[in-house]
Amino acid sequence: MESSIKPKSIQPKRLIHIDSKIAIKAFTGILSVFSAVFILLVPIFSRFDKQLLDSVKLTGINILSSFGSEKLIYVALGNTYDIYIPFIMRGLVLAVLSLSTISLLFILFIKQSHRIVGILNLVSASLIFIYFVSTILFGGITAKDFSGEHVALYKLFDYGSGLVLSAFSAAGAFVTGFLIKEEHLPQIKRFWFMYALLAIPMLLLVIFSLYPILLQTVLSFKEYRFTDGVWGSDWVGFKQFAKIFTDPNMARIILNTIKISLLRLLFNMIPPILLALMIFEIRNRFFKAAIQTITYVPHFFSWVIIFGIVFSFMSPSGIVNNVLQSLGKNTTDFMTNDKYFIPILIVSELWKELGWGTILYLAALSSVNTELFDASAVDGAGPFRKLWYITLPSISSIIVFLFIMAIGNLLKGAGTEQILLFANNAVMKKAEVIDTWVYWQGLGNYQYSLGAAVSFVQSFIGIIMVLSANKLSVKLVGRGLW
Amino acid sequence: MIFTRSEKIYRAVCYAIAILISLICLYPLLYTIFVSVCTENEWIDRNGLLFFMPSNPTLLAFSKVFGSGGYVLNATKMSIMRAGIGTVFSIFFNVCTGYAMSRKNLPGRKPIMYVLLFTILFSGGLIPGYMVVNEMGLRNTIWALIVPNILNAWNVLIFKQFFEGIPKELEESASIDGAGEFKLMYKIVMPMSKPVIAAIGLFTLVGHWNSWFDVMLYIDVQHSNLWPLQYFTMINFNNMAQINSNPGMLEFMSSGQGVMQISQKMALTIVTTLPILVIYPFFQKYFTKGVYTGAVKG
Repeated sequence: MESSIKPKSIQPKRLIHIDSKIAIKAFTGILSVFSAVFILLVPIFSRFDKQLLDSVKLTGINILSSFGSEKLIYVALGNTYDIYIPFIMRGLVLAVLSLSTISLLFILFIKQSHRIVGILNLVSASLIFIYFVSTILFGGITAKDFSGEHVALYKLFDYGSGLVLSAFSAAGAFVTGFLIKEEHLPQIKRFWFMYALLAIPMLLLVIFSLYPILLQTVLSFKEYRFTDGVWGSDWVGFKQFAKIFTDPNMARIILNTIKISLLRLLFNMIPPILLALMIFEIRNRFFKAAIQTITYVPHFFSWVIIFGIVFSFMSPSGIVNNVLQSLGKNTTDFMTNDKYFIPILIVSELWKELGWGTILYLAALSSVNTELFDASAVDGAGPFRKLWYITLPSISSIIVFLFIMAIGNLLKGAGTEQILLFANNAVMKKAEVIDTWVYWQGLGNYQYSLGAAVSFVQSFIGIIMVLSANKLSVKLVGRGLW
Repeated sequence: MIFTRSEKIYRAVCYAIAILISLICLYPLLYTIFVSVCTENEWIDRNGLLFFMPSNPTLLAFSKVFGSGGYVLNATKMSIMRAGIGTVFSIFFNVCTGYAMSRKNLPGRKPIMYVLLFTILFSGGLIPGYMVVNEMGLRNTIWALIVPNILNAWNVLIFKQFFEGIPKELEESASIDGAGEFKLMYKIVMPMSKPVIAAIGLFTLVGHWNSWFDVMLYIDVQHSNLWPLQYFTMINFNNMAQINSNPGMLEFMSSGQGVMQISQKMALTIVTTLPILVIYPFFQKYFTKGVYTGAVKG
């Protein structure tokens, strides 16, 4: 048979052909063995001794070796540590070890066992996870510190990577053994290149997006102390949140945020719509392009630049004061007068974003059927009727969408960068919004826990508001974020 | 089109207001130029009432800004480095992620997608982000301004959507011809995606050029030689009185010697803005794409 398309069977043979079933089994087995190896050999706790320039390590083997006695007298680098290992910790190491052994036996001697093994490893991984969370919450292994008191081990030692690595490889065994089915394998083989592409981005995602979320959550339930770090600081429950909701200062800041956001929304929502309607009436192409080009420019300037330009107008040596002076009137420093602070914020934002704000409306307007205008003109409709019945309806869905999303973003919409630049001590009372508070007080005054709790509440309410706003918008005008 | 009389008046009003608004948008820019080229004598003669081009413009303010111990030149260099490296890394990794996410049959695509969407809506906030950068040892290096900004879930979504729009037939015919995943991406998809890559690239570039807040967070006064132009300018306008920075840095910001202090400040503003104005014409055609990028920030 002659055919231009090669049938699959005569693809070049690979030197080693691995059966997909065997591959799945092998991966599952190896990963589950690794979970035992990691928990036994990689330190669960470690401490770097600055004098001896060597580290003290406490591994699963050390923990198991203490069976039968209440405490493990651990001698390392000439120091003696009295470590009290609770039954549950030994149990954990033993459980992971036995689950891994059973897994290995299943893989070796029972056919079709990889799914069961996957489940066993899921149990392993979740045991470690539960243990990890409960040590953080209730304290786990304790040791006698130098003053003779019992303290949680993680205050004397640092966490090693033993538990984490073990949990990850057990979870990996669950993925290969249970989640990945045979029919996926050709796909995975085909897409290996995609996974290679994803490797670094996923790492970045975990480090710079997900880990901060974890830190934020943990921090907001603790009282952060520099000497103890995030993990060593004490748990304080909902204390930080209680502070947020009872502190009158906080109430003022939240109200201020909503006030500035709403003012910006009100004063910066309608002008772009009006401008878009006007630009739409301009039929001369060159002229239209010129106007768009000019009005879009300020959007691309940073707030630093906008601040510079505002400064040249409003500062004591700026043009406005020079005019006032030449007219014989009193001059004022507008930049340090709290009466003018919010108007300056709003007007400068209007100047920056007015033109750019028209772009979505103009895109929607470009699809208006111009024949409708002629038809309505025949019916005797004037310009305002046309505007009301033809032009506006074509952008109403975008207006509603942008409005609802802005409402959803109310807690973040006060313009942090702008306020940080425009603020000074004289206008501080008016300038404090949630985000600037987190910068000035949270970070600047080392109130890390309270700051994290504030951001946590802000993000938490924010996600609920944005998601409901999105839902509402989809329902009302059929337009959502994605 | 049929125009009635009322229609004509209406359009005339629209034209007039649009022109007026354009002038209002343009004038502050021109004004900063006028101030920056004004001599001290003329400024004093006019009592600061300068509305149009000064009668004998001078570039003295600019030469002062650039001549002051090489600070501005160095800051410009840092800005270019930051924006250049940052954009290249960011585009590369976002395109990779977007492309992988656009492969419908990729096992594990959905969970990753949900995580990406989640990070758009829920952020770790300022303080944990700061702690992570600190712990990674990035503080006071230029990488603190680049690495945390590489992955942008929003841009990933835009790339993904674009790649999904590429006709399936093209990919199928390519894979029948024996092209693997790498060849498919490199030879078929990438060349077709130049516009979207250029658009997002330019917006990323402008974003990097304009950002100063992360510099304030991560690079302290002792490492002021790492400050990009935006932050340098910000320090010189600074009214937060929070950073009494390197005195040498502000030395040139004094009146006298031919030009006013405000002229020098405006000259610095123009230097900081100029690159934006230079690339502006190139990416006007990508504007509508960019609108969606900044619509919601997490």
